[in-house]
Amino acid sequence: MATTAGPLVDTVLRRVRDPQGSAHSRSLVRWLLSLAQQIANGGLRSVLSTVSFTTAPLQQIYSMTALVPSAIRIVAVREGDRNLAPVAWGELSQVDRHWSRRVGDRYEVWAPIGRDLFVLHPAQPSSATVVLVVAKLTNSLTVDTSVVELPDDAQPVMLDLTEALLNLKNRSQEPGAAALERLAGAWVAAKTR
Amino acid sequence: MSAKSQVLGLAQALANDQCDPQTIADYFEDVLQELNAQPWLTQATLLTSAEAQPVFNPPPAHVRTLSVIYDDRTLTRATLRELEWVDVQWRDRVGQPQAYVTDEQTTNTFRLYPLPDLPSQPYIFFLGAPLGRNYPTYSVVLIHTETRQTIPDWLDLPVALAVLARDFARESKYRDPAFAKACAGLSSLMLKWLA
Repeated sequence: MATTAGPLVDTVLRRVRDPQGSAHSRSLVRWLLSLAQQIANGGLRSVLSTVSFTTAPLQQIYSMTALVPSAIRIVAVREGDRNLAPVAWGELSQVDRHWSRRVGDRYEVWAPIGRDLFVLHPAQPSSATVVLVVAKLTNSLTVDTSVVELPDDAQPVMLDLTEALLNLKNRSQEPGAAALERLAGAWVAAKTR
Repeated sequence: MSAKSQVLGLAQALANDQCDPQTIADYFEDVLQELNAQPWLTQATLLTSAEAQPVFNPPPAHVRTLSVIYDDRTLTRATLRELEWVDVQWRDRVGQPQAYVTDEQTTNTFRLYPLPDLPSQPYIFFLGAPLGRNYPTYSVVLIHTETRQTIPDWLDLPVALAVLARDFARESKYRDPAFAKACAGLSSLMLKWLA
């Protein structure tokens, strides 16, 4: 069953010793949970979506923000049933200084340039359809009944981050530091998973 | 995308409305400048090139050059010392550019070595694809980081915390070094997580 925002708000409020929400409004906690959910998904890449787009002939550089404004990052790129190989952008020019105008029969690799731009290499002489698999910018938890998109196993990160933010806001140094430590541990574990 | 005002609203909420609005607005710009030392917000800009053009000016939002492509060639980044070692007369050489240099240039401008021997083709983007079918040959494509007035939503928290870290570390009636340090730590942790 999908988790809704209400129980998570209750959990966070209990953790910061304000179960009645007298010092922290439920809307503030939901706002922070929404932001924490986005950050958590940016690292964990648990909630993915696919977007199909038509490429432009002879063009290799595209803007992710323009094509998929609701994405945090590109996780994979597919053309037909093939997954394109991800490469570091710098490697393209190490292999071939003329990479930017090379034309081929199909896309072979993709490379992110920072977080906005990405390269599909080599260019194709005509338009083609490509599918981007992206880590989604998760939804805003505007009411207690809003559904949390992050799966259950990723929610502790979201809760720890919100708790750390509220402790920071309250200038509660010790519990804040403890939540931060848990968070750092969880993030290291997730990255090495 | 989040506007600057949304990020500053978040910063004020986390600081219990203690911050001076003008100061955190200024710090927002500083944080974005610093953030762009890393390739977060990137852009590809097409620049016209005249025959033997000595200096190229990036767009105003440019922060850091990541790469320069001339026509179809990715140029090597060279230092002044390297070019002087290769060719004492490097500033006057004209030919197919092989390298770019940013040393001893005024803010953000760069030179090509050798200077381009051909002007770029006219900019007529009738198909709306300046980096595709309408790419004007002998042009310069500058790939760079840039500052923006709006940032992706997922950067709201790290940027707001970095703004608070600066504001609460400075001398003021609400100075709080421990809070500033915690904000800086959490912001940096999030950026590493998102990287």
